[in-house]
Amino acid sequence: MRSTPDFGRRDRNKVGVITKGTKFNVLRSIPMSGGAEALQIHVTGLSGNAHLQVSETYWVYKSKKSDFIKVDNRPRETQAGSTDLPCDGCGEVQSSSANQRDIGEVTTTIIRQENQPDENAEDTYAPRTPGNLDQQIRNYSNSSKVETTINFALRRKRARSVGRCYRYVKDALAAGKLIPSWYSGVAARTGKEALKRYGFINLLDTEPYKSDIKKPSQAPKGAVLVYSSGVPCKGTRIPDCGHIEIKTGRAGSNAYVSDYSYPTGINETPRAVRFGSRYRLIGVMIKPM
Amino acid sequence: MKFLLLVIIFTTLNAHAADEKTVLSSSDATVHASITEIEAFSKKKLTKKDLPELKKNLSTLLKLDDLDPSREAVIILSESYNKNKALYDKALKSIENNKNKSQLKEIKNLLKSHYSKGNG
Repeated sequence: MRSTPDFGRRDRNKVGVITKGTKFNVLRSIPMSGGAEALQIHVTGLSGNAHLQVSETYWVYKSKKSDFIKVDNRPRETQAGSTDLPCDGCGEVQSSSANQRDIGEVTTTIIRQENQPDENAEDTYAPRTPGNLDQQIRNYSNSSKVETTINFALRRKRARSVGRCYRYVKDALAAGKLIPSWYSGVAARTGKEALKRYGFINLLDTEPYKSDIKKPSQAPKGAVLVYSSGVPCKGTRIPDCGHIEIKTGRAGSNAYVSDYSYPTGINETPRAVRFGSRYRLIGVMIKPM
Repeated sequence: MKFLLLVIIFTTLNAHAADEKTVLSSSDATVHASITEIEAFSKKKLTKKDLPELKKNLSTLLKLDDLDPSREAVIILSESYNKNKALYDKALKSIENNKNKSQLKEIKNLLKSHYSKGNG
C-alpha cells in the first residue's frame, strides 16, 4: 500500500499492508507498463493488522497476472442522478452491504451526479459532461488544502517576480499538504510531470477538458497552471524554463499567484491578448479528491 | 433641452472612456516595444562598444518594473548577462543611484540566477 502511485523499491511511500477482509472502493485505475494497473482505493473497512486508516485513499499495484483482485461483472457506471432521487447505491455506497466486498472481489462504483454549468460564475469553466472527475475537481477546488495553499502563497508573494515562481508554488503546495514535502526541481515547466508523482493530473491530457480549457481563465480554482516560455535556463541544461502559477479564484490583483500576483494568467494580460505572448499553457494540474 | 443635455453627457463619458483605453493601450504598446527591443539586443554578441546601448536597456528594465511585474524583459536578458558579466556589471554600476539601488540589486540577482539556476 502506497501513498502515491510510485511502486519502486526505493520509493519511500509505503504506508501499510492490505490484508484479507479489508473493504475498499476503487476510485480510479491508471494503466502501467506490462498490463499492470495502479489502483487508487478508498478504504471503508479494516481487517487484521492492516496499519491503515478508514476513509483514507491509498495506491495498490495490481499486476496483469495477479488474481488477488477480481473485478466483478457489474457495470463500471451506475445510474446517473442526484442524491435526492431514489438511486440504488448512490450517495450511501459505503453503508450499503451490497456494495462492499471482501478483498477477493472488488466493486468499482462510480457515483454520477448531473452537473449543471454555473451561469453566474465569473470564470468560464463549466463542466460539460457528468462524471466522477467533475466532482473530484469540484472537491479539490473547494477543499481546505487548496484554501491553505492559496492563503500561504498570497501571504508570501512579492510585489514583482524574483524569478522563483516554481519554488514559491512548491512551498505553497507543501504548506497546503497537497504534496508531502518540498521537492527539488529547477524549471517550472517540469512541474507538469513532477506533480503527477504526487497524485496530480493534467486536465489538458483528458477530454472534454482538453477542448474546454484553452486559457487560464477557463481553469478551475486552485489549478496549478504550467506554461512553456521558450526562454532557456541552460545552466541547468533545460532549454525552456517555463512559468508556473496557481489560480486562486479571487478577484482583482490576487487572481493568479506565484512569487508575485496578477489579475490574469501570464498569457492573458491585456498586453498578451493584444500582442501575443511567449507563454503557452501546457498544464492545468489538479489533484482529484 | 433635457435631451440635448443627455446627449452631451453621453458623448463626454464616451470620450473619457476612449481616452482611458488609449492610455492603457499606449502603456501596453510601450512595454511590448521595449521587450521586443530587449529581446533583439539579448541575442547580440556584445563588445565594449555596446556599453551605451546596454546602459539604455538596463534603464528600460527599471522603467518596465512598474508596468510588468512578471519581469519578462529581465528573464530574457539573463542569458546575455551570464555571457557578458563584466560588461553588465560595469553598466549596472554606472546607472546606480540611491533611489534605484535595491531595485537594481533585485534585477541583478534575477539576471544572474534565472539562466544558471532556473526558477525552482
